[in-house]
Amino acid sequence: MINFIIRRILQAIPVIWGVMTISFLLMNVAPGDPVRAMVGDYYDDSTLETLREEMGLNESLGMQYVNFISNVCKGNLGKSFMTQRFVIEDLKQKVPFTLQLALGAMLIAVPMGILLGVFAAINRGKLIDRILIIISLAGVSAPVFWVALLLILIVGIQLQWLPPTGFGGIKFLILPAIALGTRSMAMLARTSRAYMLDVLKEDYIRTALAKGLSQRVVLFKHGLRNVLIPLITIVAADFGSYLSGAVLTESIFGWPGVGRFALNAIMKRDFPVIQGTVLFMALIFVLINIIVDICYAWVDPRVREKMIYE
Amino acid sequence: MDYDKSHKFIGMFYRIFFIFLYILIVGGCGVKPNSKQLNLIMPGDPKNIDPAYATDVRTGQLCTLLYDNLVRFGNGAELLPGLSESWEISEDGLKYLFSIRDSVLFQDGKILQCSDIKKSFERILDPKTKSHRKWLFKNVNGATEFSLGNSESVTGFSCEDDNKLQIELIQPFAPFLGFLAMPSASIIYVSKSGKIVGTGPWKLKEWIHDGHILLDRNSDYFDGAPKLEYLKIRILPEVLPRTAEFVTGYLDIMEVPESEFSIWSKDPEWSPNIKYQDDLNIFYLGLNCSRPPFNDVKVRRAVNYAIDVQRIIDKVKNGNAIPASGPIPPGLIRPYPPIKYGFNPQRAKELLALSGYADGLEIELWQSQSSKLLYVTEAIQAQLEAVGIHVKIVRNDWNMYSKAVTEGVPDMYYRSWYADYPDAENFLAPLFESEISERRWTRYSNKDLDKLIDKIQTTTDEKQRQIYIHEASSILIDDVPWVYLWHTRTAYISQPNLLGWSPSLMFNAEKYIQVTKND
Repeated sequence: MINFIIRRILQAIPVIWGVMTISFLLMNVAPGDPVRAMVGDYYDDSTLETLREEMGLNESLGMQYVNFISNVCKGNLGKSFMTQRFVIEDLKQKVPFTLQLALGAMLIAVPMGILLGVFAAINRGKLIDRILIIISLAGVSAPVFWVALLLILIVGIQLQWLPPTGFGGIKFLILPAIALGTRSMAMLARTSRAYMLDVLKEDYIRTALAKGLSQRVVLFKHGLRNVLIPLITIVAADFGSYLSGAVLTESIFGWPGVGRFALNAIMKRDFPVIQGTVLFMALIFVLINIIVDICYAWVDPRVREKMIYE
Repeated sequence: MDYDKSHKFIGMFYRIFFIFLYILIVGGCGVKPNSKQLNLIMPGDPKNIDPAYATDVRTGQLCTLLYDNLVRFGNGAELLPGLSESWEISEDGLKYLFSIRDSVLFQDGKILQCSDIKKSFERILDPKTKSHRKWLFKNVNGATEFSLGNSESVTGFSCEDDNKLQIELIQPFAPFLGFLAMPSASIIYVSKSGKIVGTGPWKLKEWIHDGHILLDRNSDYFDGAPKLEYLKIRILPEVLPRTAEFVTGYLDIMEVPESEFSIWSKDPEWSPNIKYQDDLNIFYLGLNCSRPPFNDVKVRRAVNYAIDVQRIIDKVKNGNAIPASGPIPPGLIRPYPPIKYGFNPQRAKELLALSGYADGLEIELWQSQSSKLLYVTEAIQAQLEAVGIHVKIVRNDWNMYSKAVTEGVPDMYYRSWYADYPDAENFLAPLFESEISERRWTRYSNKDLDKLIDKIQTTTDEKQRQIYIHEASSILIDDVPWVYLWHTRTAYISQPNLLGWSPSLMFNAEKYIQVTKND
């Protein structure tokens, strides 16, 4: 297993390098000028030129790239052009908030989604199943900003149960977590229902029931376990995307996460911040993919054996 | 397989649901806005707390709370004493002598002295600081040498004693006092640990970037400590959440969103709390004067005639603006010039025909990405279409848009300009001086106007200045390098229990010292 993890980490290095290189090239060929965004409306050409020189923007693209990669290798992501703060410091402040939101969304989405899916599956064809299908379809289709605004209007303004926006405790986390997690929840419900229906037709389920095992044991120990692999894939993909920034949710709820940080940097052509956030996102996806592979092995003995064999 | 006994699952589902509901309600209970805290909002994070980099409104507003200037803006266009209790200007307009207040303390307890002010100004000019606001002091004697690293200090800043600062200019510059009230002219010192320390009424307690800024009151503030204990600035880019925060009492003052103005202003409960502020700004369409069709003044005038500004104000801006006759807002030019180009599509067509565009013409109108601006540009597009000018709207993010304007790409661009200091010169020199205009804006050039701007800058007699300002304004109204659209009026709404606050003309005037709340 350790060999497998080491191998995956080594495989990830070219992936991260590729992501960094592509994002570096894209940002440098994209139109726009970070220096103008820095100085505002008052400037003269000599100020712009001095700043470009100081920021290393006058060097050739190749030299800028070499400097950039060598700094990243030293763990130095540089300073933001706009704020003059170290990118790593800002990321340190923002990552915990992003993690909080992503975990909150997953804590709501995963148990609720799976439970609803299983519940719909065992009630196949009944009214409750149809209602749940419609709800999950709505959940998948509803844009996150619409769900967010609806939650603010109903829970925040009309009922006043929770503060409409903000951060700093569980009461602030609930609404953005629901808004962000709704789509995942609906997706998980639909997927778990579909797979559960297939599994419930299997002989081993019938056998287990015939042995006199309780429905709960049959469903959760024998049924759900076989549904987990596709569910893990969905959870991992969503969790990865939440960690790399839920821009809309963060903007609407005033959540100070990585997504807004990256978006603001893109708008202002703040290259060091863009590179820093892209690197962070790439690392997150690589890490999650490794964790997913480990989870597959944990859930499915066949995968585990294959890993050991390899 | 029969799963009728799925009630166990239903039970489990309900248990989870009710636990969740319990957290929701219990978590929500006791969430009350803090009555000792003033809650404000910003649409985005300020850049920095270092005034040397205060090039945007938000950073400027934050600097105003944390630091003080020698002079400060009042509620209107007036300049009031700040860290200097009085000042004298020599007859030739070259020397400014400031009397510094006694016993002003920095927030770490250090006593303010004249040398701190001198160092603070020199810091802006110091090449090591890499400030983007060096131009504030470029007219000070010795500033250029110092900023190039050729001298040890700026000879134009001198301390007669601990409480007397003299600033000597190279040539008279009437708006100079206004410069001293700008955020980058804040008085600070950098402590040994590298921390920036000011004398302002609020102290920085916590800054979660893109989240909030929490400030504590400075109990030793020289002008009396703020009445409220805390000030919290939330960073919320979206409009609806801001409204939600305000409705639920988590926000004390809010700029009424244009899209919601009719709702708030018609609500009998809230409308008495709406306060209006005429802004020192101009919204305009810049016309590229360097190439056809707008190198022809007749076409520029035709466009001015073709746009029904009042109609757009009424329909899009909720009536919260006044039509502009020229670039300078009312209050900075007295009397305000009458509108020369009223809505007259027939006249517009005649002028276009005279210029050889009887069959119409096609132009590009550039704007930044904001969809809010599209309401305006689409209205303009429709009105110009009616006189045969086919407009293609080009939207780009601010950075690309701004670069394109600088490079002279758009035929026409929609923009605004807000005062950095309340002086007509601020609406002339940075926008129309030939050297700047040709390099960055409309490419409009007029040597007579340049001479007038120079006189406006160097004349200290206000009556004479107003004459020059009118002459400059007349040239710009005749030559119309812009379509002059409007000067806005902003509606603010505050909580009914908030006392001691009214909107200010300048973005960096308000320090919220007298603001308090009724329990």
